[in-house]
Amino acid sequence: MSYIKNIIVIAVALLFAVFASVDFLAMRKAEPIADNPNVTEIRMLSEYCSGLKGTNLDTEVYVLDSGVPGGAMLILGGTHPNETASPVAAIAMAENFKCTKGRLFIIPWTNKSGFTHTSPLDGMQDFFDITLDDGSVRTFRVGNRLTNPVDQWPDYTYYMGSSGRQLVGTEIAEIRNVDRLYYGNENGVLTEMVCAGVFNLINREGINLTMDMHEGSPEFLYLDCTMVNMKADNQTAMSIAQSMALDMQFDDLDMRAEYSGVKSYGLSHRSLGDNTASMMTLMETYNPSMGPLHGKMDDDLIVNGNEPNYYQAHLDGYIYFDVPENGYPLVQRVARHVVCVTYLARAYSETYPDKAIAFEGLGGYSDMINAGLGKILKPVE
Amino acid sequence: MKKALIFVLAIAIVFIFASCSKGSSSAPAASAPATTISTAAAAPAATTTTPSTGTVDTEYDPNKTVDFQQQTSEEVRVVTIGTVNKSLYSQPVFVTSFGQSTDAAMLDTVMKRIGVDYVYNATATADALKNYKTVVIAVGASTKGLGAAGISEAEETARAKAIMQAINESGAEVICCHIGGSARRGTLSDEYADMVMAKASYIVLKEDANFDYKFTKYAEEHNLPISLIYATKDALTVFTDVFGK
Amino acid sequence: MLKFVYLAIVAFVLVLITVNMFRKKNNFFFQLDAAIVMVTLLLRLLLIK
Repeated sequence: MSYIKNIIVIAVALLFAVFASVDFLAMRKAEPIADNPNVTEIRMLSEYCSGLKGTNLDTEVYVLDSGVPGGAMLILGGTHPNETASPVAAIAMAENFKCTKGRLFIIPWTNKSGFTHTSPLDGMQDFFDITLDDGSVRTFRVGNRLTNPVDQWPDYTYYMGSSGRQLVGTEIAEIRNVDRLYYGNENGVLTEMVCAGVFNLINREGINLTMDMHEGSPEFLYLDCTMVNMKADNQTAMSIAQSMALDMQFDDLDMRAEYSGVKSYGLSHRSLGDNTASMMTLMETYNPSMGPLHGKMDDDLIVNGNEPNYYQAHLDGYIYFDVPENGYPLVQRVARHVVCVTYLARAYSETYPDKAIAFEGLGGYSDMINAGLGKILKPVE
Repeated sequence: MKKALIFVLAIAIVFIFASCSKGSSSAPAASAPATTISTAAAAPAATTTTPSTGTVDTEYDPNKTVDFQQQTSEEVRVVTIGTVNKSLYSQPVFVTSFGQSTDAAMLDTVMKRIGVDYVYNATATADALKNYKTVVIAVGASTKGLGAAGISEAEETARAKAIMQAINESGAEVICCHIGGSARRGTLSDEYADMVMAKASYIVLKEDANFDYKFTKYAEEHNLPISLIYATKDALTVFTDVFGK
Repeated sequence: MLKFVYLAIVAFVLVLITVNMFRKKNNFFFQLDAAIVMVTLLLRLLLIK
């Protein structure tokens, strides 16, 4: 009897634990992707790195094979799960695209484990909804840029990645960041195995062109920008990217191309570009939910990209990016990614006609904006 | 009693944080901005300038405002001051870069689109330009570009000087192209621009790079035609006019 | 391997906290503190969070 108070306290604690667990475990369920008859195969990344099999980091690779000889392109979405437009754009492409020449590989959740948790103490929102045109609601997760620590723990106090990047001090947590561990190591930590899987996929499938889709906080200097690895051979890669940028500019979409930083070891555009034959690019769009100045996290911030703090900061001259007054909606960022990928493939195909990659299914930028995410995304069971 | 009070205060703080509204959405947007941006429909208007997105300009001071009368706009995308003598620019054309910014690659795309007979080499040495009567030089320094090309600033400057020397000897016509905007202004970029403008017979410039009137003043003093463009893509219009059939 | 070592440490700390809770049974706020810590340790032990 004298211990009854203890038992009650423990029972209440367990009750909280149960409710918290339900909430946390809800994020482990991947959002469904609608069937697309043009997807010829869905593989798992563990086919390219066996160490991923049975783990929470094994992820789907959507293959769209046109059956027409040509090149191959890889699109990486969800490398950083909190960069919402990236996985949503990849999902939109997986649901809508039809490859008409060459082959297309789409990974919607490159860091699948990152989607199962949010950033602690940041007041992060875990889900957001998109209402489709038929009235149904699709729910997507806002994850964390890093692998879930329950999948890869503990973080070593020092780690040298395959690229030579040393993760130490403030960068320790980056041992769970896919975009710091390229080109990967099949015997490394789990996150590094994801990188190894992507590396092996590029090599085995003969991927000619790769795009890694990202978003950046408003403070980031390289927004609406595509990083290009300029291989030792030539300036052709940059010319292809500039051709894409010019096409986007003619669509009244700001875009520029920049060289991949020489010391960006471990990042996809640097280390995959240096170590594979694929032309390697990485694109960033603006995401106000990623910066420190954002207010309360809600659907208006995630889906509408609306954050008055950043607009004011831009007016005050502290944010270089031309922050739109009424926000930068998710549909615009998704459309921008899709258009960039499309124009990049086109520019690549013009330069290398024997390795042409062509696809269709989402139209141009204005088509996507007019349709809205409610039409772009398909109903699911 | 004290512990109960602390407990209640802790709960109250949690609720206060949870109910915080987002940003300054409740305040009018026009309240107390530090700088104001005014835009005009067609006529040029004084504007305060901020750097366009791109390389960090370490000299940028958000509190410093410059009176800058922009002549180009959404409606008037190209403004040419002076007369461009197109007959000076025969093909084939050589396109290169001083500073290794990505603008040279943009010129490569532009020339290809227009169908100009040209050669593009961002890291060309003086020898490569020997037989070309027209040289288009994209000026703009980029540390990323220099790094990607594996060239140091000193090597790039030496290369630039050698090329200008070769041009002096061959008498080729030079078009100075600065289409990276205000992000491509800085000590090294300006050094390259000065080098090229000294020999150029035509300047093509993205107008926001002219925020201190450096280029238009130079063009006026040296009687050089200068085309101001509103956005990088307008370089296509300019070069179509110069080289197009 | 290191993960299991860390999980063993978490389990050990959880046991210690639980035992201490029962020892300090008259101090309600101590019970509460311990319960809050127990939740997080339990969630990590079960690899939920």
